[in-house]
Amino acid sequence: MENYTIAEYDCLTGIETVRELTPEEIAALPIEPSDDATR
Amino acid sequence: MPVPIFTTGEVLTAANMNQIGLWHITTVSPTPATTIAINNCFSSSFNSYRIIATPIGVAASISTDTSLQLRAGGVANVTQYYQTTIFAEAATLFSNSENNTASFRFLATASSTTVYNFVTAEIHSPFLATPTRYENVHSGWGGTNTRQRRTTGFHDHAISYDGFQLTAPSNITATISVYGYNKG
Repeated sequence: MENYTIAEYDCLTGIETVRELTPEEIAALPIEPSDDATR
Repeated sequence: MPVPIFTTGEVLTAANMNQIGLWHITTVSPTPATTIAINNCFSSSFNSYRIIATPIGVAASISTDTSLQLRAGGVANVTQYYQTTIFAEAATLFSNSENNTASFRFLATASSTTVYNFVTAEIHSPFLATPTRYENVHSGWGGTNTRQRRTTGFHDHAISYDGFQLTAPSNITATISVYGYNKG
């Protein structure tokens, strides 16, 4: 399993920031079943 | 109105420029990550937006989709996404409706051949405090055949959003462009 990271790009400043997600953010991630799993 | 034909050296007036239908907001290739967020791309300047993501892929073939969530002030909204999806690959055709999910579908799984994939999404009224409407067309390679998927739906919150994020359990690599439609 990879580390959960977020790359955030701001259109106003043109600045990108990259960081690891917090445990709370990881718990809230959407995990949608795939088409292969649901058809 | 006839299609304008501009000539070399011609001064373009405000009237000329205000007729431009699609305005480029950004094109970015973020550092690969499990979540890619584009902040401050939605504003009062436009009501409808086009997002083009190509090439796009995930680092590992996994049984989950890449999803899209709307963001306000850097925080993703995680409820009330309603959508219907039609998926086709070879002779297989299926449909799926989902109510009050945590995200919109964006990129189908098993689409790991990055250079074959594209997603074109239309997002209507994300910055207005009304339900946001969503359309997504995705094409890619399923390993043996091409595949396509179309998702339409709405996000049932009257909230103003200024951005969006894509999420997958494996690193996403993408070039993402955002355009705004002239609202006249």
